[in-house]
Amino acid sequence: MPTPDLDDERDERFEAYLKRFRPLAAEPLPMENFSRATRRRFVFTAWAAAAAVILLVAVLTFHLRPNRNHSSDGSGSLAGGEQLTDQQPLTIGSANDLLVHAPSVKAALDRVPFHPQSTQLPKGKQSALAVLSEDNDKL
Amino acid sequence: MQSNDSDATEIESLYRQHGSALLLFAASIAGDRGRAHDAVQQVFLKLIEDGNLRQAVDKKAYLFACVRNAVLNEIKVQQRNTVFDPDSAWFNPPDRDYAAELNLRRALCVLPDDQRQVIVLHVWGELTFSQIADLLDVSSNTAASRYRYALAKLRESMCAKEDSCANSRS
Repeated sequence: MPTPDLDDERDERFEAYLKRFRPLAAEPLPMENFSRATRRRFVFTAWAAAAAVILLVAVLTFHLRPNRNHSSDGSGSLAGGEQLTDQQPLTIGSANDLLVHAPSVKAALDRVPFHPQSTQLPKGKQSALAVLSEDNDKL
Repeated sequence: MQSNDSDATEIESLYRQHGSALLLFAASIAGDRGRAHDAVQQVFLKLIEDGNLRQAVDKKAYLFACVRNAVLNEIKVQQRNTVFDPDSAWFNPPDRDYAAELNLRRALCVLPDDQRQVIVLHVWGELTFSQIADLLDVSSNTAASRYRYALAKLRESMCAKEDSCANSRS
């Protein structure tokens, strides 16, 4: 590429001539629209944050409430999957809980501890159940 | 909040100071003053929003770089070629010589992109060759050399049509 003839004085004069052409002014910045948009965005963000917090609190409350009922109650209510221990008496409440939380009636009954008949009968007396079962055998 | 306000005030002041040169620079890349205007305003509004100007050492050069990136991105996104709009003026001509304005604009438009950018940045943006070199990612010598070629071509192109510029109206 050939180097152009450089005439510094001519270049400077031409540059000065070019500078006499002033670039057209830019329109003012739309600051009002901008600040309005910023304010609108801030309000929207605040509302969104508030809605998110409310939703979170609602979800947490919904999830925690049953657990709290069961744990704070302490009166024999049972969560799903729990089994009555031998020491716990079988009450209508605990039976209801078992039926509510168990997947089936059979499963609920399986969780009820039936105590083995350990009552000793006095000598010479028989259990009515034993007698009846003998009668059944005869039939 | 107070620092945001002072940033916004500083950015507005920079816009008043360099807005017209930035707009010309954007138009010299985009070819269209409307798109150039949108790009420049977007850059400034984003700067007010993000506060990135605080990190810039050379704020003026940074503004030109932001505008250049914005216009080039817009061209890339729109997948369009630069078409120079002959009807939209870029300059306030001396002595209301609108024919000379059109002549200058046409001469600028026929320059290669890199030379046109250097001319606009140096003459109307008043950036040094070192600043231009950083902005365009070339050496200072390359920037200066592009400028001289561009100036020679511009003079040749303008003076072919307008005798009066031969003496540069000194």
